[in-house]
Amino acid sequence: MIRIEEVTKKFDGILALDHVNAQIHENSIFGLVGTNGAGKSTLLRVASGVLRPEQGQVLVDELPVWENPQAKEKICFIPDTAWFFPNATANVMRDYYRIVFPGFDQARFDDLIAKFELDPRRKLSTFSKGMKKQVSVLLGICANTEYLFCDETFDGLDPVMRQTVKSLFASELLNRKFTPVIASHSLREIEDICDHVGLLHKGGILFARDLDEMKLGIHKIQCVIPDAVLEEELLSELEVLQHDKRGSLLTVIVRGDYDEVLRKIQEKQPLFSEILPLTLEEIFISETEVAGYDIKNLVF
Amino acid sequence: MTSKISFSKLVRNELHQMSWLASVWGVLFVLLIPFRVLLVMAVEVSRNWGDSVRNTASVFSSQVGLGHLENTIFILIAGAMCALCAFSYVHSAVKLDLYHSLALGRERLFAVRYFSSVLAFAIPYLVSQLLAVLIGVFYRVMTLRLLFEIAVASVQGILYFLISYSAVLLAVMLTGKLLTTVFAVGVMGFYIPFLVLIYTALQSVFYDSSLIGNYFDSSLPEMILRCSSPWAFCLFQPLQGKTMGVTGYFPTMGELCQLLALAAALTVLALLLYRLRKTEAAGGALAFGRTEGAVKLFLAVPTALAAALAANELFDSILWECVFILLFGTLACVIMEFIYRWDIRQVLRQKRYIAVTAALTAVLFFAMRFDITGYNTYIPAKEDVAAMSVRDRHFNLHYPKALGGYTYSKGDEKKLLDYFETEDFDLLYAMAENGVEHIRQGYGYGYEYEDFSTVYVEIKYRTKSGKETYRGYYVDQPLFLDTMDEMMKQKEFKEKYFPILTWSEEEISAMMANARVYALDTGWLGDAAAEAAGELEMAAGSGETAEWPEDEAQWDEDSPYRTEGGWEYADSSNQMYIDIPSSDVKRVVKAYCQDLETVTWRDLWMATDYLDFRKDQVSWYDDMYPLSEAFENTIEILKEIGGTAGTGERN
Repeated sequence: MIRIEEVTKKFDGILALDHVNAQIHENSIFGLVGTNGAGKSTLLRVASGVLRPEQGQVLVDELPVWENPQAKEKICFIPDTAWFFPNATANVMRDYYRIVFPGFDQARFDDLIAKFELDPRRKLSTFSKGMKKQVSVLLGICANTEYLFCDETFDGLDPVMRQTVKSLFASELLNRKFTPVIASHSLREIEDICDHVGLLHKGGILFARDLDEMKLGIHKIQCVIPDAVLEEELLSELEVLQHDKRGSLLTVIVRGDYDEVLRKIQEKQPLFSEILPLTLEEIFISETEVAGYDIKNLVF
Repeated sequence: MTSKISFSKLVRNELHQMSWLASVWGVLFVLLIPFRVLLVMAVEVSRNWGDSVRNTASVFSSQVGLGHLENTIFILIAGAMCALCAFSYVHSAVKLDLYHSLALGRERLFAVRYFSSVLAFAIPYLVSQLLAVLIGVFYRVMTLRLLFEIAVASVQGILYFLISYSAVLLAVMLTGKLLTTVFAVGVMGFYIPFLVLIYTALQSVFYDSSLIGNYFDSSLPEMILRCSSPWAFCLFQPLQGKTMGVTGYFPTMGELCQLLALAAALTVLALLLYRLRKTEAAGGALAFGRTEGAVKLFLAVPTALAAALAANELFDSILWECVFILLFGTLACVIMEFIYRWDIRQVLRQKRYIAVTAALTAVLFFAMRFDITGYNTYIPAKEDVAAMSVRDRHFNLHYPKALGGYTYSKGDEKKLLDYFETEDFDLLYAMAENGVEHIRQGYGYGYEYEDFSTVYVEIKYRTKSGKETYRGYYVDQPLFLDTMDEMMKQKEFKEKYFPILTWSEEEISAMMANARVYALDTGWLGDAAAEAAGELEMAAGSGETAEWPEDEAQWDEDSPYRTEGGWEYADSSNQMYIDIPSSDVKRVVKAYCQDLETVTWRDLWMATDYLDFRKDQVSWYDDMYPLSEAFENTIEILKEIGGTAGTGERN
């Protein structure tokens, strides 16, 4: 487990992380989302031991990560802009990763690089941005570390590759002790693979929760209630996070138990009603509004 | 907290990454050492075929052995380049994302990069040295001693490399990008000499009574120069750049240990800074933001001081000095701000540094200009003085043998004053008070230089607390001559001024001597000598003896005037030599010592003729004793010898 405790980081007096607290549980995919400049990359760099926080600490399996090889050997960090040696090929980088990550799975790397149709003997400097990203993801996965920190990993990958990489993550999760932490500014990219999400905004983490738990507690309802009084009653009885009425169609996002919400709607004798699945975006908008943050226009 | 990552595998990998660097050095070192040695040896052998092996060995040794300046410079450059290549990653955020996320402590990562880049230099360097040895074997000049010398030279070369490498590494760790690293290396290399030059120049201009000021020139004392930077420490090693060869100089173990200690200290400091520096410092001007202001002041203040000094020299106006301080202080701050921010719009952002620079410079400059500290008029209380000494610059003291190599030349005045110390200083103190009074009246060094009513003297005070103070003053000429005449009556004083009085019989027997006479028209030499001198003068005038030798070596070996600047000097100075046969040296010395019993300082003062003594033909310096008409006994003997005047040959 990774524990982020009161982590504060400043750059030239600018607060990048402000007393961030979070826990990342093993064998789950943690999505770190937030606006540009929210501090996602900084948090990942602090967590991987690249940056030293001014305050607080990051513990990897209860070991402080800063300047601690024992903790760092459990981590592989794939930065937003991966750097390769000058004139290096995928094979050269593979050989280096074999040295610096003793558990590196060369056979799997060779296999994957072939499946991804990347030439392992071609200079990486001639690769496109997406191809370089693929190589760095493959290197990270094959490093066989318990934790894989990915900064904007899907940025630059085409849709097919995104799905392939997600499948790879899922496969790793099934086969070994593996906890990827994926930072992204786009919720849509990660909502289908993340188990937990943390939302960073202006250097502070708004919340970090289990995605399913969040989905269970929040519901999106569309209904048509002919009687305006009953409609008002319904809105007052439910814990409404958001509501919108277009014509006679009422759309409400409410917090509460699914059956209870459904019963209350049925009591108002609607002409039509249904409970729709919520997107991650909608959950975040609702949650952040409740938390007092009007970040609709920032995050989405 | 150990890492499971194999150190040796990492070093091998890094070395592999730096193979291009090793290849570059390989090519350059092969050209610089074995290839050059091969050429030089081929030329040498073709020139001296059949000659002694020893000479060829010496040539070989001078190319590969100790003290080869070009090799040293090249090695220092290699050190700088290797450090920049190996540790440039600390200036790149993307590279640090990789390196600092690895399960490696910074010390280990540092060690990996350090060792691999040192190997990238050492392997091609040692291979080149080895090839040179093989060339030596081929030419049959290799001996065990020479092999040992090459081995020591190789060790020394690697130590030079490490010093240069670690110094640049220090600059890399202190900065955040290549541009500022280059500036930092420049500052590390030249800052101290620049400071010393500024201070010496200020002393020379404003401290009239300072000896340093009086002797100011652009050359720095070797010790300061040597310690001014890591690179200077290598370049100004003892006897660096001189031929050492198979029979020459070897560095002592102590000197090698000095080099090793310096390299180690610089490396440890660089490692310490690496541990302290933040990853996010990459890309910034300086790695440690808090040093920004201090660095700015350390550089801007001396610059503004130099500008103020220039204004003083150009205009001698306080207004212009203030303008220059403000102008150049601002300019220096603006340039540094630009280097820090790389944004022309922000160059005036930190105005407080401009203000501090101007204020600090003005305080330092005007404190010296108006002698706020009372430096010029300082004289210790008489009861605090333990000893004093005096030196008259017009009296041409030149006793290198007697004084352990000191001459009256620049830089030696303090040593001579130390040597002349006397505890019977009442008269000297009174003379010094007269000198201080002249300073108070504005008679500093160089002031009314042509005024013969005063004499410039150098004084040393040693107080009972051990403080040594050296000063130079103008004193009234009659007071000076009276004082010195009185001092001449003291045996200890006289013996120090004239070491010839203490020479042993053995020393005298080993001496060769000449009289060097400039006063050809005084006639005191007698007719025969004057006639001979006249012939010499005529010959020199007609060009017979003034002909420039065809071969430089011949000039070096055979010229009788070589220590005096050669034939031209003989042409223009109207001088002549009287050779004193070795059988007469003892007699001349005895007569001279006898004369010294009676002559006064007035007799010696401004003497232009000399007796020269030297121990062998190749000595560079003579002991020169003043000669004037007052030395009657000596002149009598010289008149006897005078018949041989003008040959200029050493007997």
